[in-house]
Amino acid sequence: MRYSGFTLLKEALRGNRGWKPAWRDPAPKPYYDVIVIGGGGHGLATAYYLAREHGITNVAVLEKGPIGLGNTGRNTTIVRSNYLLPHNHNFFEWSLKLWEGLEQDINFNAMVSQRGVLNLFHNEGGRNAAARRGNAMRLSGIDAELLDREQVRAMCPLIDIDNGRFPVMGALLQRRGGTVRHDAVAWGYARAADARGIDIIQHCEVTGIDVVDGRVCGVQTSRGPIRAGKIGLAVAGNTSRLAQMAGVDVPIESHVLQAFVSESVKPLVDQVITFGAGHFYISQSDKGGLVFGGGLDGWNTYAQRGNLPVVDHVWAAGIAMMPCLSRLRGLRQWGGVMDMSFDGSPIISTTPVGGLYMTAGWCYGGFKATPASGWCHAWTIANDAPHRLNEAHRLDRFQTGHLLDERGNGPYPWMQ
Amino acid sequence: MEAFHDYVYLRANPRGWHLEWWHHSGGCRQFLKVLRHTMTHEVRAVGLATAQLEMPPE
Repeated sequence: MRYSGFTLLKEALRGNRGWKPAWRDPAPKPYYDVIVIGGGGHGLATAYYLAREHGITNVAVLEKGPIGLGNTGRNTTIVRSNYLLPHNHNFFEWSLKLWEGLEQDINFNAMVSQRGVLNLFHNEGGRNAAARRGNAMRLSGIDAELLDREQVRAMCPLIDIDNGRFPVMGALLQRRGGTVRHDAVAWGYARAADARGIDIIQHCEVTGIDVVDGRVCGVQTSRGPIRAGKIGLAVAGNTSRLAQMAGVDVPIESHVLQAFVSESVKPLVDQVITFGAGHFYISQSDKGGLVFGGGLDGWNTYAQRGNLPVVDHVWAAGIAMMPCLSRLRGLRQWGGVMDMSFDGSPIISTTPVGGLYMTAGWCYGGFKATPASGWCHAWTIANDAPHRLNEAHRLDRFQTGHLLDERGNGPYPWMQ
Repeated sequence: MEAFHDYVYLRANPRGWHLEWWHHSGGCRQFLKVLRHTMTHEVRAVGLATAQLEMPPE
């Protein structure tokens, strides 16, 4: 059924008894043309675009738990395309354009809020880096503005511009960046994919991938074996484990990123603001809680929980940037498990095994990529070759030396 | 070249027992070998750099 203001009113008048389930709960069929492993945003978007763009509907999304409770349910909801390298910003810009049209496309309120993303800087080096990145974006037709300190003060009066240790010199602003409600993305894509005939199969954990003569032919799962023509992995955090089931080793380490939400308050933070003197970013959800986070804990883990030194560091950075935060109470703290890649850039690629594809290596920046990751992964699956937009994000770029070293740190997953 | 690539970039990345390097940066500055479980975070064994730590059966 189509969601609209009219159906809201009509159903309310009928006592809300007419709402249909947003997606079915089918039993797995013996065979699908494509199996997408991973029922998060990327997997569900992959399935949706396979149907919408390529007419491929004999597809199952297999999810080991309930959909959307992995990283899609744990991120800090930021969307932006303000990357330096053209291969990256052109990809993320396609994603931002897809975000802009998403709610109309899938008939679901994802609360796409282009409230602006500000990257603060505090010294000449920071300003040079921001100007370089902004100019690189503008050369590719992406919006970027350099603000001075008074412009930042006018936009965000709660920032401690004259901080003794970290005075703010200015900011790089992307007005079209912002936030999207992460849970709605999972539900919206699930409903839209299901409506096109895709089977979403929850509580179905893949325990093995069958490969015969160098080509996939199916999976073993907790709900029995399922044969498949093609398999796409969208299992961020667990890519190494799933790829190894098919005999593929990948350049990935699994790390934890923590995130936090404060008690709900009246509107305080109108944009997404990132700190330049420490790894910290913050925005305010529509429920009023401030949603914020920082950097990795730095050690390999699948446990989806981090440790107190990061909590201390993140909150201290937040209070340095915006002193009024010190009076708020923290409400919740959690972690996710991420694929950290060796150059900080994602992998949307074919693999050495025939019929096996992956969208992986998203580090801590996967949420903003959800639409374009699904779109490009679907393209790569349908055509057995990457689209121009994910051509550079190949798995074998580490062998050929074509790394997308966005941060310029070198091959250290925990430092990307 | 392939061996060098595998050494630099490929990782087992287990969800289970994992061998890693720690650096005692606040003290003796030695490198330590640590055997830690990546789901429970249990530290099963620690040794100096040249120690041979046995991987427990999974």
